[in-house]
Amino acid sequence: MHLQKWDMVCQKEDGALGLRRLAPLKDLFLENGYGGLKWRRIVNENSCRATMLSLKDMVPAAQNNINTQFIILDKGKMTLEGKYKTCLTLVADETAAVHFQMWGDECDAFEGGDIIRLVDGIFSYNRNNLVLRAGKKGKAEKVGEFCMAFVETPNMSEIRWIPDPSNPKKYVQDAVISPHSHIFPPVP
Amino acid sequence: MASKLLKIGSLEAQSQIELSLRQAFELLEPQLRPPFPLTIPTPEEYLQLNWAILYGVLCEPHFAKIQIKYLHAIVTDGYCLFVSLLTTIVNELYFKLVESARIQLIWLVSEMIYVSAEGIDGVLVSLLRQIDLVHVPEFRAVWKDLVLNPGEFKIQGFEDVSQLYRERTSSRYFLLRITPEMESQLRFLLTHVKLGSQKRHQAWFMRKFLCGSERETLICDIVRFICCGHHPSNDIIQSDVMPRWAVIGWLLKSCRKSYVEANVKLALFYDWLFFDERIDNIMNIEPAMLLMVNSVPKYVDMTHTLLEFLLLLVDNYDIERKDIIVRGVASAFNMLVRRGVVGSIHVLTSCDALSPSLKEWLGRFLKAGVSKEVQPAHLPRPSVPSSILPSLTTSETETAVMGELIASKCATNDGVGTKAFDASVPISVEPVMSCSSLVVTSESLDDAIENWVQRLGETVRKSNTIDTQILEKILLSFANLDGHKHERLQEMLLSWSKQGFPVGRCLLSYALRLAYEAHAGGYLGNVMVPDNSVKVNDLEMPLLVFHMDVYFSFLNGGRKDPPEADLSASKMDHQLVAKLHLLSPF
Repeated sequence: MHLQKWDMVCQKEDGALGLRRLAPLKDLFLENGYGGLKWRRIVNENSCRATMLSLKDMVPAAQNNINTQFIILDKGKMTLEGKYKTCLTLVADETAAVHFQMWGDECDAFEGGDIIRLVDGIFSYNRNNLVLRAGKKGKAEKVGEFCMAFVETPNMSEIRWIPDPSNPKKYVQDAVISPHSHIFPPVP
Repeated sequence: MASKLLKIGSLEAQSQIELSLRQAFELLEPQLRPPFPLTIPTPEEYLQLNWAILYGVLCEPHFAKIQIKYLHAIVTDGYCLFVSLLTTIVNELYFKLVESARIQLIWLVSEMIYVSAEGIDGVLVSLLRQIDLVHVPEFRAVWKDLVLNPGEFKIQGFEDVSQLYRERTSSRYFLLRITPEMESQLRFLLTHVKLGSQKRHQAWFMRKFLCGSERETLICDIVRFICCGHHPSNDIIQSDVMPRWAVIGWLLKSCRKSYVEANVKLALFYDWLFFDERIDNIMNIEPAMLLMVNSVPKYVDMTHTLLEFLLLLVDNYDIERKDIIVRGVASAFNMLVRRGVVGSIHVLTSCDALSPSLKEWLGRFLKAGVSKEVQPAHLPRPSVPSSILPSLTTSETETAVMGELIASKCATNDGVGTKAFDASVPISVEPVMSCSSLVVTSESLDDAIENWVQRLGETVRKSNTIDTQILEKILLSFANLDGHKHERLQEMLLSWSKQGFPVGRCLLSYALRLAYEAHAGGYLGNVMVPDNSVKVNDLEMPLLVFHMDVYFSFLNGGRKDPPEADLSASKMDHQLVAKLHLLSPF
């Protein structure tokens, strides 16, 4: 959890996550003599659950606003983008799949079957591909392995999006290009 | 911040457990250096101190001895909390611990054993789960002694490995054979992953745990765990989640070495060999049966190889104790059919795709299994013969009639109960019709009948068609036993036959009536009856009285029938018997 985002995250308006301000709670706990232990557990649990977005609810935007968790299904070939490695992957949660662009050390650190928590990620067009990635501001961390159910359709990267007629700043779904990833076909 | 406790990969989230421990340690570090404060900690402080000391001991070997002394000084709960923390560390973090922390952990465990900490056995079990035991020479030696030299253990009453065979293995033991991580992934696979979209999970599991030549041997332990350590709920069984047999089929297919494959098959069938319905769970033997049956349509090779292996096991697993194994496997087949895991054994015995020789072999085994059961020499004789209360359970009796049952089920594979029921009748009736020509003088028949009567009660309590078939068997035996002693029964059967009544049905009615009377009289264990205090209301229970008299005459060996027998037999109401077919539900 990145503290500089605190004000934004705690707003209760659209797009914000409605998290409670935790500072008052913290005082309460420390006074009660629980010390940092339980306090930190509460913070950590909250930071994972309250901010978790289902992949199917992602909408492309030029912001680092995606906090989610997914399992890596398949890895493509590593390529060099300048001096940095990149690697396109197929990831998914229980609601949808999407193409996730790994970058730098991520390419070696993450394998198929790893469960990744993405904080402040961005879902946007990168060289004409609609991909999810951590970006410079976000962070992807491995939090587990294997124990996550997933679906491979719909694939959010295989959906055509158009600007919302009533709100040109927002995207809405226009059509399904392909039910599954055209790069990583389902295992027969 | 680099972890002192764990090997954390790059871009891997830090462990919450470690975080909590470290924060407690950082908070209380000043207190962990002598001189120690003399104040008594509050419960919260106590909790924190436990966390902090554990972290300190694991990460600072040079201070460990001092810190553990402090723990000894403050401990008020028999080390309960400390040990539970240790268990968590072992289960969740052991494979990630840095080398020095592992050494410290082992030292801590020995320290906890020294002070007899509460729950330390649990930590040891958890630690053992992190090793593959067969390769430890000490354990190999134990196993050799078990098989070849049981006296070595100097345990009173332990004389033969077959006693171990029959001992139920604690489910805790199956967990011991696989690591906690493997367990959680397998349980996930069997609880959340749907059949049809399991390929990726399978590949990940394979890559993580089974790559490399030696690791293949783990499959045996995994299969044993799946059979005995993971029993899904009915909800899961009825859902589209991957069933256990499918996981086992996949594991079996992934064996590259034939000896591993053989061991996996043994693991799969092991619970069949010594199956005892009284104590063993049908869920332990279910996967093997379902794998065989479900493989018939598309993977008949699998069915073939499994069935062949099972029959080989029966003949060769332990030649000196083959009778135990035959009984176990027969009982396993019987229970699987009876409890409806498979509709009938027919699916194997008359499967076109299976080789005729194998089917013939199976048929021969099933028959042999039955005759073994019926031979009185193998049936324990009750030590207090005057008690009509059953001293044995149903398993053996039911196995005894399994042949008929299977035959009847095979005769009608449509699964409709009444049809199967009907089909069983001619099998039993045939000898009745020709009973006068039968020469039955064998002593063994008496014994068999005695045993059947002994177990009648237990059986009747389970509502099952088998019960009535057992009753039939008893009746048949009475009828066959001795021409003049049982004239009345024969007369009854013949008169039914002459009058054109369906003899089988009437006989069943008769048996049911008998069972009813026995129940009403409290002879089936539903009412406690002291030995020898047989009180029968002759008027209400004419059939039972008749049979009990005959039963007691058996018990008295060669003695003449007690006079009461003739007396009560004479009271048997002809009219009642004649009317039985009218009262019957058919």
